[in-house]
Amino acid sequence: MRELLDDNKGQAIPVEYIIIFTISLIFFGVILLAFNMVIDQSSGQAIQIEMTDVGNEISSVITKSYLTSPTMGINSLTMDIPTQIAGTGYFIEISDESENPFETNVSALKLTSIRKSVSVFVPLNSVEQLIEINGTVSSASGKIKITSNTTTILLNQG
Amino acid sequence: MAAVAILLLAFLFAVTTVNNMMTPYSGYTKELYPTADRSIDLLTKDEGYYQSISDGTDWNFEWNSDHYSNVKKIGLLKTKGDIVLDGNKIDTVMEHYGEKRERWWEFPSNDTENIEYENVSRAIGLERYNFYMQIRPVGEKDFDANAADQRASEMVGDDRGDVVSVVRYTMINQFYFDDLNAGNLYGLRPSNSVLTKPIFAIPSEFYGIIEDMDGLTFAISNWTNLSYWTDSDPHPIIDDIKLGDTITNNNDTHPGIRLNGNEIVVESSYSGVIEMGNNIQIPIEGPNDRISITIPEWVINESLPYWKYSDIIYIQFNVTKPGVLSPPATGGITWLNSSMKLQGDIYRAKTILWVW
Repeated sequence: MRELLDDNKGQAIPVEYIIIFTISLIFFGVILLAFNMVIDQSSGQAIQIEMTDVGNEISSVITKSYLTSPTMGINSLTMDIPTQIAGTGYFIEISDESENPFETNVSALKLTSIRKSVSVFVPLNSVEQLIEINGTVSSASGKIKITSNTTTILLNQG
Repeated sequence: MAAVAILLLAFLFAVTTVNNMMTPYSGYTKELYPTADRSIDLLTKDEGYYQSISDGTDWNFEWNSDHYSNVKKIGLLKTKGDIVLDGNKIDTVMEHYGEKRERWWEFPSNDTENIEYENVSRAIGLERYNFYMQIRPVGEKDFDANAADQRASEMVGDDRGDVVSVVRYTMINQFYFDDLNAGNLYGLRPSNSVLTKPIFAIPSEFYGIIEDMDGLTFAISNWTNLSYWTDSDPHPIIDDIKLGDTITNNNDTHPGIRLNGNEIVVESSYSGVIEMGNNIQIPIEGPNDRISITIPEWVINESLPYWKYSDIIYIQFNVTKPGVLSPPATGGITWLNSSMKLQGDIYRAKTILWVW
């Protein structure tokens, strides 16, 4: 038995180093990949929560704009929004009726994160049934202007 | 190899645990309050909207005709720019309890059908949530807050998870028939001096009240002249209640469909709800007894299938012990709408919306 254990004739040290190095590389690559996936998932969820908050603020301003729209002229409200969420900008728009996954044939306020491809849909609570709502805004300026009259509410860059 | 596998598993476990600690709950709770806030704002500050061949804000007519999909938005406000809620719109959608200023409303109730609930959810913008709402009078001493609180507990419950409630204070304008005076009724006067068969009628332009309230309710009080009201004097009894939509022969004689006790709800201020079998026998307990009679809409629909096309609906009953009532000597009709206030009754109310 000792003779077999002490027999090093088939051993090649360089090959051994290469094999161990390759296994270690794969091992740490897998760990890194798993870590990044977990971080991405957490990041995506945080973005979703933050965009839902921003979306609800905008939807509330849209509601107030509708309720205070004048019989003549235009009502204009400007609000501040974060320029980035989780290090990336986002778009704010009114979704198509078919896009809304929560309500049937009803538009919603849609926020889409640019780099992370996360979208949230915030309800407009049937205001879209009373008045036409349009517009697409980027978060780059940090402001959003909502103008309304008796027939339309528009989202504009602030 | 075993050591490497154990190291890998340990690392993944640590990362997963840290991830779960760092990533909070999905955020559903955070959107409940702003959504509820917007919904109640639009409910109490907007008139609503319907769209079919025509369009407008009196969506309650479309709703009463079961054209739910035509109602795009439910709003309870009577007139834009005002703060008064329309009692007709409220009665169209919500179930009511109590009378006059003690009345309160809820939606949904135990009788609410699924299709109506789904359409209300859509029309107030709460399709992706569950909700329950009440409208209560404010400052009315006879309002039964316990009953309203009990219903809220039953409907909202304790195991819903996160629930938010929002409140708005408004005014409400409610139209109802005021009490009729038993000393001033019209109907059949066979002996030209005593009234034995009072007749109560409502013209077609007020049929919306029947649809909004899911029936017809009226009350009669002040029976002072009907009896001597002593122990030896038998108390009067109301019986033989008939429902019809045709008035013939100078208002005094006409056909009608006799109702049975299961088809009406009668309440006395002395003895509460009066339980009756097939035969209707309503005792009048005293001179100040207030007799409230409710005929549900389903009874009217079954008894008079074409009532909506008629000019008038009447209710007539017999009083077994007629006393000497006020003249006129000729017969006539007691018009229910004559007891209705033209401007309605405007008073403070509170709208509460629970969302989960």
